Amino acid sequence: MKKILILVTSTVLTVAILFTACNKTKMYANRLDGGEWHITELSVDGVTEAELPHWQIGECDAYKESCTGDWENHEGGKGKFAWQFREKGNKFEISNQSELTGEHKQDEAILQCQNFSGVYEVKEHKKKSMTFETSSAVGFSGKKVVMKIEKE
Amino acid sequence: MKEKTIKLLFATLAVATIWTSCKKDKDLVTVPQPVINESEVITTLKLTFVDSSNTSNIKYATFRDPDGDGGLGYDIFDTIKLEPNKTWLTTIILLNETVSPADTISNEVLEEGVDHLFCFSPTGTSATVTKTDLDANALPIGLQSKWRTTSTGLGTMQVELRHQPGVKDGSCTPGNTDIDVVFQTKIQ
Repeated sequence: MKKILILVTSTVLTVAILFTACNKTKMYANRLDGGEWHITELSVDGVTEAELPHWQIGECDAYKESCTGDWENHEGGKGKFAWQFREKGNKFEISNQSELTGEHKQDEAILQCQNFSGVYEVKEHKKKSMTFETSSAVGFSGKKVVMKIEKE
Repeated sequence: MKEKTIKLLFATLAVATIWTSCKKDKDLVTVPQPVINESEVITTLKLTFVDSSNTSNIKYATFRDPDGDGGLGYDIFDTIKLEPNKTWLTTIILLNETVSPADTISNEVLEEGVDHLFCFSPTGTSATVTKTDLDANALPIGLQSKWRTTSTGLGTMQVELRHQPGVKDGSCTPGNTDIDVVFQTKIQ
């Protein structure tokens, strides 16, 4: 009986560990969605961007729909982007989904979102802070882009 | 035997649970391609040089690519020809001639001066450039400038418009290029 109990416990533990590991994508997505995040670091080849926007992220299931968020600047301009974690949470993609409007503050947010669209490596992932890096952002190809976001 | 069966059962269960619960990347909804907004279409860059010591002495240099960047090439590409030892008050006009009447893009650049910066890079020429106009944040724009020529010679002058929404700091590094033209420059 004791042997069976040990067996059950170890099996459950193994399953739990493997289950968690293989669902990092979903776990990371769940942490990101449904909240407001501030970009606290945004740099290109070590040069910090003057405008640090914030994101409004809606609730989402990446297996059922394309997840989106708002890229907002301090002037009140707003652009929409699609986002996704994949490859066991090791990759994070941002994809601008807005066209220019002709309104200055809007277009600023949209162009910034467009320039920083790309597939990022997830370098740090905590409950309230995440850090991403890429060298293939749309507007900065070949340059190292670092983005750190923190939850409100 | 009984114990082996139980072990096998649990192992099978574990594998089955993981197999069915662990969603793969292929199950994710594909992220839509990013929308790429083109910067302003600029077909024409006109430089006007007024001799500060004799305002009737005016020189012009134009670059024109009728369909904008890409596609067909330019149909006008002047050499900048200036006299030495003078100061030239220089103005840049940008046009979009793909529409009729032509759209004066330099007016938009001026309106959005806080997001734009002209960068001038001379190579092998004595001409040096000082921007004389400022945006709302007291940073230069470059639609207006002074070109000082000294010795005669042949070289080039790169004229580049940087679009720097939200990131303009007075340097040419941030942002994207709206137009970039390298003019042959003759000081004679």
